[in-house]
Parts: sequence; structure tokens; C-alpha cells
Amino acid sequence: MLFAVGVGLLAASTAYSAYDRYFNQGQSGWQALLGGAADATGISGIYTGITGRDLVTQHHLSLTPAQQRQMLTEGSIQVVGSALVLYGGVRSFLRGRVPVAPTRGGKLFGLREWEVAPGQQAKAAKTLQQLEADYFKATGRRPVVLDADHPQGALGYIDPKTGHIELYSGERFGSAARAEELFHYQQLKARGLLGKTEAEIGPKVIQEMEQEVEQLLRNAGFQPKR
Amino acid sequence: MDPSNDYLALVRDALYARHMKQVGCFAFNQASDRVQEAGTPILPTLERVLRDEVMPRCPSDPSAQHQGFPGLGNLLVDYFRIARDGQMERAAEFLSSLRGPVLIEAIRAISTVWDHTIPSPFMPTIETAARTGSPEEREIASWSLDWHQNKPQIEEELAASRKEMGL
Repeated sequence: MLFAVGVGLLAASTAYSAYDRYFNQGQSGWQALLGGAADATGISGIYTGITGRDLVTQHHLSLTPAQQRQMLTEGSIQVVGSALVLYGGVRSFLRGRVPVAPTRGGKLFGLREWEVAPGQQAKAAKTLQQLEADYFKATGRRPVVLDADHPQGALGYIDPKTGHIELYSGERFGSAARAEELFHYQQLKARGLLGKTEAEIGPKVIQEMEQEVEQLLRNAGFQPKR
Repeated sequence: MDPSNDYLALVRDALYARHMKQVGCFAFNQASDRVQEAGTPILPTLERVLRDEVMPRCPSDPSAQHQGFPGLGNLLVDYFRIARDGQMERAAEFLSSLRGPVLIEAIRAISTVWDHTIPSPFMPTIETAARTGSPEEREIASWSLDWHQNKPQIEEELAASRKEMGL
């Protein structure tokens, strides 16, 4: 959203500046367009602030030293702003999703997002079906799916004390979070940790389970989301 | 100072999951852990809140129930973990007073705390629920009795499944 607003403002500023260069200053179409883009991003300001000339036409603008300093300052601020907009856009493109969509951060353990690996749909579906059946047999219930997004962007959680699993965002981001939490249930069961408190489980075991679940997910046909 | 007021605040904090800690994929209800640490003196407060505040207005739909009382399951596990140490008759009496979704969650909590075996003081209530309870009560009570009666066989099946998945 912020990226879209930023790009919109840059485009509008480029168009306004290009219009001014073309119609009021008599520059050619290419000069007006390049100059407009340079004005909008702040590059012209920095160039003019340093040299006292227009970046595109190279005309000397007869500016006072104070005016040059002012242009240099304003141009620098504009360049930083444009760079931030560009960085946000590239980052969002590389993630393959819009910046406002829930994200799990990518730090330490248990914070990676997963997806079904190419060609592994059948394997992943079979494992998920088995995990579901085992969970239902062991608890007499199914994971609760909430349509709302988690405030921190998490896609699922398990409470070790009750074995209760909660899945967020209506599972719009695929079935991997369900598989991950169901695997965690099996880990807790295998270690005799259901019904225990955080202190009884301890950080070391939590970390071990988060590491182990990555291999379990890979074996089941899932891969980390790019 | 009357400690029951502190207990009441603590139990409600746990019931409404006001102090959650998330570590990776694991969510911990910290107030619930403190309830458990309080031990036997907190049992009357737990009974009162669960029976008088939760039971009359607990929805049967799992999503609605979790949104209304997200810490219900935690409190029931806490209750039975505390009661396990010398308070079994009291716990049996409390269990027999429960109905509906709270009874269902209580039977699940017993399965968690005693790893799918039913202690004998609880057996009459669970058998009654399996025979004469609502459809949902009958279902969970029958599930619990099935585990109790066939635990080695069910455990073996689930262990084989875990092994197949690399656990």
C-alpha cells in the first residue's frame, strides 16, 4: 500500500515536471521526460546544487550559493525518499507478495513459511491426511481455523498444555502451517510433553522441536517459501 | 488481604488468555502456568469460575468457544493437575457437576493429564455421559472410554504412524 502511494506520487511529480520542461521551458520530449524523472527523484536537485547547471540541458542557472545549498539539501532528501520507495518495492517483489500480507518474520526457528514443493502435492496431501487422522484420534477434535490474521502475521500455533491448534488467515496461504502444527503435536506426544508448562518443556527442547520440524516438513514434500 | 481476590484475577487472566507468550510455533498461557503453581488453595476459585461463569454461557461451536474462553482448556488441565495430588474425590464431585462444552473439555483435560486412562473416581461420570449425555457429550465420553479400554492397541497404531512419518 505504502509502495503504491509512493510510486503514485513519484509518477505524478515526474509528469508535472516533464510538462513544465516541455511546454514552459521548450525542451524536447526526451529531455522533458528524463529531466522530469530526475527532478522527481531529487537527482536534478543534487546535480544543480553542486554544479549550478541543469542536468539535462547543461544551461547555467545563475544561482546564488545559498540557492545551490538549498537545492542540494532538498535534492538529497528527495533521493533518500525515492530510494526507500524503490527498496520497499524490490523487497516486496522478491518476496512475491504485497508488503501488507502477513509474514512470519524469518528469524530463528519456527518462523519460516512453507509451501508444497513442486511435484510433491500427492505426498504432502497424504501426510497431511495421516496427521489429521492421528490428531483427531488422539484429541477427539480438529484444529480451529480462524478467518482473522494473527497480529504478528503468524499462520498457526499449538498450545502444548492442551494440544489445541489454531490456524489463522483462514488458511489462505496454503496447508503447510496446518502440517507444521500437526507435526508439533506429534513431537509433543512422542516426548510426553502434552499438558506441560513452558518451564517444564524448556527453551532447549522447544528449539530442538522447531529444528526437527523443518526436516519433517521437507520429508513430507514441503519446502521453505521463497 | 484475601488471596481469593488475587486468585480470581489470575484465573480470569488465564481464562481470557490475557498473558500469552509465543515461542516459535508454541503458545503458552502464562497466567495458566501461574494458576498451576498456586496449587490446592486455588481449586475453589477455579471451580467457581468454571461452573458459575463459564458453564452457563459457553458456546458449543469450537471456534466461538475458543474466542469466548480461549483459556478454558488450560484451566481444566491446571485443575486436574493440581487435584491429582490428594484431591481426587473433590475433583470427581466437581466433574459430576459439569455439563455441555465444559464437561467435554474436562474429559479432554483428563485424557491429557492421565494420558488417556480414566482414574476410577471419574469413571461413573464419564460412563453416564457416554450413555445419557447430549450427542457431543456422548461422543467425547465414548472416545475417552475407547482409549481407556484399548490404550495399548491405539498407542501402537499411532506410534507406527509416527514412525512412518519419521518421528
